[in-house]
Amino acid sequence: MYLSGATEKVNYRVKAVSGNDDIRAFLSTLGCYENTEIVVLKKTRSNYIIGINGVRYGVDMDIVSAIELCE
Amino acid sequence: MKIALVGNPNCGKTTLFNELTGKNEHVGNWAGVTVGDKSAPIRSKYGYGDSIVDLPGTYSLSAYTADEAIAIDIIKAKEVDVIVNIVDVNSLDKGLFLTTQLLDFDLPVVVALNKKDLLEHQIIDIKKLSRNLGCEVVLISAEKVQGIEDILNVVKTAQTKNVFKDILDLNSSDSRRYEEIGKVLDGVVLGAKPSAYVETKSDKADKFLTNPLIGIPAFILVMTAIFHLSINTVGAFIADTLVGGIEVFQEYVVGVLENAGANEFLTALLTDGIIGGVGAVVGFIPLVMVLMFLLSLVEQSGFMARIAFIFDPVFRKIGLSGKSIIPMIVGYGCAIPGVMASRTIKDDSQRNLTAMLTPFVPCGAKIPIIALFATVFFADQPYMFPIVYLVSFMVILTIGLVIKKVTGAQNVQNYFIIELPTYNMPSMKRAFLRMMDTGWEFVKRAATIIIICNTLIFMLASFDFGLNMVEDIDASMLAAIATPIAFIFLPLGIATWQLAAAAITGFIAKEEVVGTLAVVYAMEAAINEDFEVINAVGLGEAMGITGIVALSFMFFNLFTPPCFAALGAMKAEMDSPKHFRMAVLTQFYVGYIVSMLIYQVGSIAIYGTVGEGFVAAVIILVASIAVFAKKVRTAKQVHNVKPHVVMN
Repeated sequence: MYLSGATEKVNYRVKAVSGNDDIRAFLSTLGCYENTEIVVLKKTRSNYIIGINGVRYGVDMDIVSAIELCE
Repeated sequence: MKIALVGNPNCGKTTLFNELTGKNEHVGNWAGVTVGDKSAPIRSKYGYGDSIVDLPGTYSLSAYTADEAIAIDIIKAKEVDVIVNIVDVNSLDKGLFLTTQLLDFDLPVVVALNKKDLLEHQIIDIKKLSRNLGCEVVLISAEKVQGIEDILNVVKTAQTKNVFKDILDLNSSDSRRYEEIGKVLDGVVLGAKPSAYVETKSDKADKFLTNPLIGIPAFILVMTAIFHLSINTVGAFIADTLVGGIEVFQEYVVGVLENAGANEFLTALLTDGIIGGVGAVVGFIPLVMVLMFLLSLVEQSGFMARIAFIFDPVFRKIGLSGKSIIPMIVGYGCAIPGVMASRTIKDDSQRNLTAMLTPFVPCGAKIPIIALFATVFFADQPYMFPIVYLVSFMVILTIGLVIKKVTGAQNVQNYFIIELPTYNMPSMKRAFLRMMDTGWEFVKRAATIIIICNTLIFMLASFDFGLNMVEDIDASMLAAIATPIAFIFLPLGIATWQLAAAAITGFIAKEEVVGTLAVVYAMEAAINEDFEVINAVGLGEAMGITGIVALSFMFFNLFTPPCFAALGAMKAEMDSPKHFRMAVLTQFYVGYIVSMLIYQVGSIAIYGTVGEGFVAAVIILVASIAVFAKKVRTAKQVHNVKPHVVMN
């Protein structure tokens, strides 16, 4: 399941992060890599607000589709 | 001793820098406000002899953007003696990621856990954290000026033991690093961290403010209120007093010089050219100052990051991302820092485009132009300012879309991510300081470049090429120089040498457009004690132009290239001289076309007649459409739908 399938305000664990090297490295720096916790705080049609390590980030759908979650 | 302030974006480095140095560097509640290194000595209150360097924020020692590279280069070159690593106490894991990397250098590190005032239910065991990290740790609030002296007390004797020496190095994986951070924080944060998500006040606010249907109208409402307060009410009230003072001063100087039997020309130069011309510009300072005060309150609140988030889908349509909004917001004050803020954008083409589009947002220096023309020609239109900014936004989107089509930059995979900070109660003190700083910068420009320009313009307008004083200004050097240039402006309806001269001096400093108009039309000051343009009808008549021509001239000055200093910033941020030249040409073209369309379409729509230079305008328009169509065809053939991936 990708981030788009997540229920709002429920904690998930990241299964994998895809996308180009830059974005994977950057997300990893923020603490978003395999087996870390992530929460979707708000979904809109064109972007999401997510929480990683207690910090809110606004992300676009390209990032949403790059983060795979553990079921 | 040179102390570097290092930390994540928006962790409070510049707030601490301002407190330690007494400076008033720009502070805003979003990531990427500081994009260059700034240094200053510590102020006497905190002791002499040391200097502080404020570095752009970075999440790690791997640079993604140009601003991060500045910070990292300085740290790696060890150009400082001590690192004060600012860590937001509310996001310890993320902050300590950088800390563990900084500890790998042979430099003393002091960790300052900032924003303790925002710590809600948790207590930090500082001693234990200090022991676990192997360096001094202090708990501070830069905002509330708490714990500042504690940093300086430990900085001089700071010694760092790299406890991660055998565990981590710069090549360690991020997961390994976070694993160690988990161990470091074990038992340090007292007060249970909730295992499930807990909704904060910021999350509740974001439910509404990040909804485009609420956020965008809220933004427009806020900006309209800001313009109303700064231009029509509070700013106008303050301007009232200032302009009254300028007029009294002008009359006083005239009296003194006449009594002293001073030379008539020198009297006119000093009173009409310098005091009158500079006064016309200075009279608008309160409007800009109040605008900056109110904008600072909004910037501190955390709302601007949400604006970037909301507008990301809109900007995506023109090949940019929400990150491009930030430079444009900064550009409200001055185009130079606005353009510099584009360095937070990693992708070259997006950065180039953002640096080129940012000056289309009317900066503080352009406010006197808008205020003057709005008051003289559109006094019955109270919403002229918001309309101008709305038009600017539409122009930015249109130009972005055209450039996207012409370059064929389609199918962009953007990877936009922006940190959404906790909403803050804005500091009135900081907003006041920003306002005073803006006012001071304006005064400095008025006392230097504006005085020089006005003196030069007055001299050129007073003499002919034989250095004989002219009775009729149309026989002056200025008229002779500007008249051939004015011919170019025929399709724009502004083909008078006075307007051409004003537009040209605007490239030196945009305020000078008003200063030059003041000299060539002999306005003693642009506004009087009641904040009415002196003899508004008279001024309009003196200028000999209609409302449509005034609008055309105003937008020409708003959309043609910014002042030389901002062009310098554009050149520095763009990836090649070729792209810079193209950007400047595009800005000229946009200013010209927008102005031409306003004049020609406006003339037909309002006066029912074609404007001057109509045929030339049609030729320019048809040629533009033909070139555009050809470029789009070429771009389609060259790029042929190859996805372009960028990360911002």
